[in-house]
Amino acid sequence: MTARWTIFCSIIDNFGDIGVCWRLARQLVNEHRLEVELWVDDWPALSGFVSAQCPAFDEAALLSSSHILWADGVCIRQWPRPWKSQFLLDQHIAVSDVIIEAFGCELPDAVKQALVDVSKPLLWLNLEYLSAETWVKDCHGLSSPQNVSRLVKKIFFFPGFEQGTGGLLRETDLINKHAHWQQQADLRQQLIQLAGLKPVACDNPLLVSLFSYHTPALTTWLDALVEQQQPVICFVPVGKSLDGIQSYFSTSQLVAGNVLSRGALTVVVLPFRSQEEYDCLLSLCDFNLVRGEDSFVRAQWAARPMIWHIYPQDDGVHMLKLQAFEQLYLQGLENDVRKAWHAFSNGWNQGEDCRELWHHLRPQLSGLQSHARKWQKKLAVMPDLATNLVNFETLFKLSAHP
Amino acid sequence: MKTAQEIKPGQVIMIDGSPWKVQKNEFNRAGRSSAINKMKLKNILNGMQTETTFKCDDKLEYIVLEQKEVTYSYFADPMYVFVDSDYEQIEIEKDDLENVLMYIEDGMEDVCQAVFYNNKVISVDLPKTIVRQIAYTEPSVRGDTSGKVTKLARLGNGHELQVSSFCEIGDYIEIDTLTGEYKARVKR
Repeated sequence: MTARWTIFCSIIDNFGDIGVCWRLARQLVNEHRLEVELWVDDWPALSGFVSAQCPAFDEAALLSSSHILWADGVCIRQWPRPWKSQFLLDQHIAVSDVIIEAFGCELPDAVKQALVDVSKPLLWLNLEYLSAETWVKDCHGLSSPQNVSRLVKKIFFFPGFEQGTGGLLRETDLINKHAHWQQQADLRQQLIQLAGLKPVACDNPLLVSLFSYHTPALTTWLDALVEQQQPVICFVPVGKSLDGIQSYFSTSQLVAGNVLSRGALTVVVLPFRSQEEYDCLLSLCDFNLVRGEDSFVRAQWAARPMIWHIYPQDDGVHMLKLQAFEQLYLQGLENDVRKAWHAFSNGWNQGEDCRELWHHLRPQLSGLQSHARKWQKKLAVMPDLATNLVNFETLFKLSAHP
Repeated sequence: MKTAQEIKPGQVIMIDGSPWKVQKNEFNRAGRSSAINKMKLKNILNGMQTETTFKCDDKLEYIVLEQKEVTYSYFADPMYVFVDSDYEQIEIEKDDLENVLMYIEDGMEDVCQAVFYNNKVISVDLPKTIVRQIAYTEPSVRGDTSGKVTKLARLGNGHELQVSSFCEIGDYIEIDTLTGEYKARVKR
């Protein structure tokens, strides 16, 4: 009998949470042959997201659907807020083999109540945020007693960059896909053509992608790109990242397909892309500015130089998390390259003037490129997150039924 | 009920009907606004130790235990002997003195709180501030009286901590027992 996994996902900001949960759900279905139900609380956001992933779905139709749909083998269901407790539904969830609360979202009370009466072992996983901090290894895999039933075991599961953590999401064919994309000169050419540059002007342009939170550093970085010798094409997907671009070009209402130019810089506004299309974009660009968790991880698999705009936290604790990642990521880099990367990363994340910092970083991109490849290979040696989750559940089952 | 974040070392929480003493409670910030508490726990009934994690706002059932004022008397290997106000002797294991052990020395007069569960002492708490004498430290740095520069000092029982650089051998110092940090030099 196929094991059933239930994932709860609360969409808080943009498509990061659902992006991770969707990748995980698809991988569990397609690579591990599991039955997966994905409960999502923001149906309008979900509808927009799914229609971008699966063109066969029409967003308007999804919005008016019965709040349950199948996409890529995953059963997606609406998580009503507040939860409308129905005995049969609560029981249905409680007989899952695994329940995942993604990013610490809280299970509905009625579901927790239903767990009291389970008659078979159930693994309840709190899938946490990604962090490179050392305490993550100490907390990964620890139990979290909940006083519900002795058959229910709750575990904190931490993604991570090192052995001893839950690893990172990575589909089996992802590394090969990146290699394939990067070998296709015509794909890069197609991207360049989106900018509508004349052949002379587009001779070997620098391709960059931008997906970041709001930061005053953006304007200064754009200034630096404008005054570059080499033409640069900056790809920006529609969304909040566009706000800073609009204000820089003193324009409004930018839509997908718009192209803006100043000096050496051409900005291309891209439509909301499927995850695979975004992976391909990261793969083809020479430098990626990414944010949060999902695009941050994907940029590392793309093996291209990147800067991480970390989610800013009120008390500044995000800078500790950034430093922790930096300590791992920059190992083995030459001093000049490391200094340039560190300075730009810090400047970007603290909203400082990045104009000069970019001019110092730019000559180091080739060093960062070879480093990004080494880093990708290093990460790829570890089992991926989905496989680690499945292996963890197998061990749990064995211990529950020795 | 208390949240995981509010639970302090020495307190006892109930898990699956068993009392567990919290030996350590570390707070870590995860992503966004979430936070995690990692606890080191010891089962009061069978001595088993384990580590667990909780969301910081997970609600935990804790029990208030009987407390008694005691003072340290002597060490009778492997037990530490305390006496209460009725001069009743109470023997306590080293593991139950985890947060106190570093400050125990012969002749100490601090009035401590012994915590009981089913008539067994499970922990001892020192006052928030205690006074100890420096047994050894390097000579003072001339000219610095700000207290910002620190150096290592050893207490009579061998425990070491950072103190202000103007402190000398034989000086009495106040120590915050919650943080383990030097607070000030005092006169006796």
